[in-house]
Amino acid sequence: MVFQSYALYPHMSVFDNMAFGLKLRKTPKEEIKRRVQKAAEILGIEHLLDRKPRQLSGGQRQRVAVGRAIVREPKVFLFDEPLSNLDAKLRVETRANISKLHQQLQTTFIYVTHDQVEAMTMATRIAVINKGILQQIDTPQRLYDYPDNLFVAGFIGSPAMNFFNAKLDKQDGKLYINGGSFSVQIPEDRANVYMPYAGKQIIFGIRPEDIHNPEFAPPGITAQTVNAKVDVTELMGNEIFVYLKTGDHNFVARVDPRSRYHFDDDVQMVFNMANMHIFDTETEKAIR
Amino acid sequence: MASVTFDHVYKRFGDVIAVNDLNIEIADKEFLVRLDVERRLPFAVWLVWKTLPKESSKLGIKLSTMSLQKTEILPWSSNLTLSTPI
Repeated sequence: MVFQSYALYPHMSVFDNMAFGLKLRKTPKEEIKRRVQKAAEILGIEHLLDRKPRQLSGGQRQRVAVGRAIVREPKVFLFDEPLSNLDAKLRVETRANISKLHQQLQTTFIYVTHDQVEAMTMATRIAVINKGILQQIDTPQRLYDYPDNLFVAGFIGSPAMNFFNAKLDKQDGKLYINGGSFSVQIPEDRANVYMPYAGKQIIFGIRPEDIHNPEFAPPGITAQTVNAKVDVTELMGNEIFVYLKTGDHNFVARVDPRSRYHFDDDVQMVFNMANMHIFDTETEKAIR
Repeated sequence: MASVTFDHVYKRFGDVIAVNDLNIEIADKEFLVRLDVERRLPFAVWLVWKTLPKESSKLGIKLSTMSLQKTEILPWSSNLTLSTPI
């Protein structure tokens, strides 16, 4: 068990903290030494074994806490928000170390967090819980690509998926998402699924990364054009978040950094409809 | 090595629902992340740990339908401190 707070004995050395549980179980001294040394090697803290917790940084303390769990050679590791007390840089570093640890130890890990980046980067599967209820359990990629409901769709991904209240219109055997200020065609290979919803209200979802500047849109996408007005731009260096308005709808696009957008510009954006999502307005479940 | 099964696990604190009929099977060697949307409720792990000695089976660990007493639960807080390190 590894907690958010390290729960180390302040008066004991790192070695003694790691060995404490084994001593209580009357493990032979040589075995304790072997296990602590091995765990310290895995965690890269061999040189800290004589130090007291107060002489360690936050990241080092957390590694000692993990080491204390490792020496017991548990069948299951339980991590309860272990990175919450670390600063942003250390969190990234420790996150990678925990993933590496999982590969090395080949043991079952259960990890609780409220941070979706931690979940997405480390998990083989993620259980998304809201108000105590399991929303979806799946691999990170499938959660991202195929969210089961509106909640998961909006929760996984940053910036969050854009949602539009819209209506499905059928014209000449084709289906269109009518958002009032825009109309985009549903790809023909997916239209059959949505035919029963023709004429009904739905929620249309599309991720910011599936909205492109037409100038830099990747080739081969199922492009549909939407006219919008630029509200705000946020330059991130490797990308730009563009906040846009179309009719009553606000949405955000994650576009190529070479794009040049300014406040109040009238622009055309390209939606990659191959990656669109449609949700039932009543049940909020994905329709597919 | 172990697999873990959550089988109809519930936990409530008054009106607050922490775990509501949770059913999950975690395979051996799996890295399962429980992504809790609300920060106040991430103690399912603690709940598992608390229950292991009672419910451990030969290889797998099964948590059956249970309703722990409030006094058994250590409420999560951002400054959790333990009198005895685990």
